[in-house]
Amino acid sequence: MAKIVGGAAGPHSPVVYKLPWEENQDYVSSMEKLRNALMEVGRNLRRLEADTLLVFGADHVQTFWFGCFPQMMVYTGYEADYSINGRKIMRLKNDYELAEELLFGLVEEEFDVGFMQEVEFFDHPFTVPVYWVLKGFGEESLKVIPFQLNTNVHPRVSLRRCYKLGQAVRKILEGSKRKNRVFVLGTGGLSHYPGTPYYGNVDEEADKWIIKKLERGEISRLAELDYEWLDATGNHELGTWIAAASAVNPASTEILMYWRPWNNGYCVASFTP
Amino acid sequence: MTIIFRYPPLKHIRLHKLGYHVFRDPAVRERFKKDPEAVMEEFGLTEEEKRLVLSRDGVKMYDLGIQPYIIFALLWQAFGEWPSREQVAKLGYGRETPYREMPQD
Repeated sequence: MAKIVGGAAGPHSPVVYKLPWEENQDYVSSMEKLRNALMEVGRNLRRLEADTLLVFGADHVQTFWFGCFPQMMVYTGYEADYSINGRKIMRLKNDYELAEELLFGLVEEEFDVGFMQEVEFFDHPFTVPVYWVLKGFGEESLKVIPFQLNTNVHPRVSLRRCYKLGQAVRKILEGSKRKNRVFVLGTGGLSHYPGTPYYGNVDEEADKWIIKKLERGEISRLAELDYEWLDATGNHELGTWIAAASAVNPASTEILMYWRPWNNGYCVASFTP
Repeated sequence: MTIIFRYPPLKHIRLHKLGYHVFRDPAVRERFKKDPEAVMEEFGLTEEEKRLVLSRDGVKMYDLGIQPYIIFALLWQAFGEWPSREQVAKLGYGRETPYREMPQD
């Protein structure tokens, strides 16, 4: 059977790739620590000898357009380009065989997941964390499976659904004849308000509450949150974290970093099955 | 309670489409930089929508119903116009967030 060997969740803001403005030394130093936390995820991934990285990310009207905007989509192509702000920075192999197995298995489990065999590029919700994780991983043998969840354009896939999705993914992998060692990553958050007049706020109290629940393994409690609360606290992307955590079903969760500058609550969490 | 990352109003589909293509298509982006009027005309924007795009005012765009990720794409990602710490208040960002209650443990 395939095995989920570990997981993590972390931010995907383009700022984490490269700062677009001047900042003070404290900010720059904390950003370096944040990037190092993502690289530590990569080093952990290597220690666990993972060969597939399943990434739950949120489309930002970049891969999809309002002409066709799915709630869930798994990428089943051979490989893909990864961009930041539309500028391509890397090309990665895709684990299309396992992606196909997930697609068929999830539809059988009554998840109406779409698929894509071709894509022009994936942008920062996938690229930013994968870029830093791979820096820590240090090898190119790893294959990726991008899995899109609509957490950013209302109406959106519920957190309860994300929780059940993670459980279904785990069930399908455990029933697989493949020998893959899968590492699961959720990307986004925590509190931030991009593209809105609320930008510049961070709901640290909400972030800390979420972190406490993660540390206690109360993933199903987090799955009860609705989008009014999530939007009000800038935690609209939490569904990707829930899907990843639910897939891992962690026996323990370690917070590698929480940092709350003026525009974003940044957190990196590590899930151990 | 408020939904912030809302459904895109159909009436803005032309402006939304412009933002999507300006972000992801370098050729459209370059043409837009050189001659925004011509590109907005191609996408069928109304005169009011053209004025809104040319205002580069993300807060006004949001208040008139433009989807946040189109604003994000059109201003920030395509052209690098990120509001810095100093610009946030000056440009009208940092608005008080909707009221929420912390869940019970």
